[in-house]
Amino acid sequence: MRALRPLFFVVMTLGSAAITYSSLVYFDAEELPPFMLEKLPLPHEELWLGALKVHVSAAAFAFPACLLLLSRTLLKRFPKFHRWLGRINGGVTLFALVPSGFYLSVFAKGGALSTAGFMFSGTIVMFAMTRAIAAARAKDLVTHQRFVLHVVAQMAVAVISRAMLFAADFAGLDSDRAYIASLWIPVIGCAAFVELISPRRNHVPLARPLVARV
Amino acid sequence: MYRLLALSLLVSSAAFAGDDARALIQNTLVTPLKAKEAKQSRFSRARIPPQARRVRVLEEKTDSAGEKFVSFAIDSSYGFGGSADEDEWDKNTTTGCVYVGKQEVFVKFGATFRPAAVLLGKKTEAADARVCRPNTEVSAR
Repeated sequence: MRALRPLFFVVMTLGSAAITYSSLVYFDAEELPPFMLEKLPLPHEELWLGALKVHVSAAAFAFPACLLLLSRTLLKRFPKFHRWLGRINGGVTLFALVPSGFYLSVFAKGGALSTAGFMFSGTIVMFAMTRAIAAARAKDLVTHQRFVLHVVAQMAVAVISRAMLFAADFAGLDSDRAYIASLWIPVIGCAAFVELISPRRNHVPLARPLVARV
Repeated sequence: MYRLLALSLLVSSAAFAGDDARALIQNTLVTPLKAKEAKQSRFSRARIPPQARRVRVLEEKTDSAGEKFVSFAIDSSYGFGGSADEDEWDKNTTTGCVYVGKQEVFVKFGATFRPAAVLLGKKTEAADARVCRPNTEVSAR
C-alpha cells in the first residue's frame, strides 16, 4: 500500500491539472462550453454557468490543496502552514465546492440516478470535512485523518470517473449507463476503500498520529 | 407525357433541395464542428465527440410565414468500433431544419430551436416560435 502512495499522488495531481486545464473554456465569455451544450435547454443558463465556474474554481484549489495537506513533510516542517491551508481549504470546500456541486447535480446528465450520485458524494464531502475540522480542533488526529481521507477520496472520484468515461467511450458502451456507473462505482468504492485503510483509535496508538496511508 | 415531365421536374427539384440542404449542413455545421471537437479536451464529463456523423435530410415543409424549410437528423458513431455496422450509429443525436434559401441552419434543444452556431460554441437565443415548425403545427398550438 505504501508503494502506491507516490503513484496516487502523481496520478491525482496530473488528473487535477488536466481537469483544470479542460475547464478553462468555462471562463471564455464568448463561448458556450460543450459540457453546457449537453444540458440545454436549462431554466437559468447564466446561473448554471455561474455555479459551474464557482465549482471548477473551488475544485481547482481544493483538490491540489488536499493533496498538499496529505504531505507528511509539510506537516512536520510547516505545521502552521498546514493548519492555515487546511482552514482555507475547509472554507472553500464547505462554502463553494459543495453548494455549487449540489446545484449542478440537479441538472446532471443521466437523470435522477446521476443527481443522487453527485449529491451522495457531496454529502460525504460535507459531512467528512465537518468531522475532520471538528476532530482537528479537538486534537483527535486519528479521526481527523480518517475524515480527511474521505474528502480526498471523493475529490479523487472526479479523476477516476473521467478515466472510466474515457474507457467506456473507447469500448463503445452506452453513454448514459456508462455515466452513471462511472459515478456510482468510484463514489462507493472510494468511500469503502477509505474505511478499509483508515486507522481506528482502538487499533492505532495515539503516539502514531497521522499515519500516511492513502 | 406532360404529366411525366412535370413529375420528373418535381422529383428532381426535391432532390436538389435535399442536396443543397445536405451541403449546407455539412459546410456550416458538421465540418466546422469536427474541427472544433478535434481541439476539445477528452478529460471532461462532456461526452467524447463522435468518430463520425452522417446527415439524413428528411422532408420539406412550410412554416407559418410561408417559408420553406427542410428538416434533418444527424446520426453519430461513437467509440472506436467503426461505423460500418448500422448498430454502431446513434440515431438522431442532433435534429433540426435548414432554410436553404436563407442559408440558415437551426438545431433543436428540447422544445426550442436555436441557430446551429450554438453547437460551435456561439451564444445564441432561441429562434422565433415559427422557425422549423410546419404551418399546421403552429396553427394547432
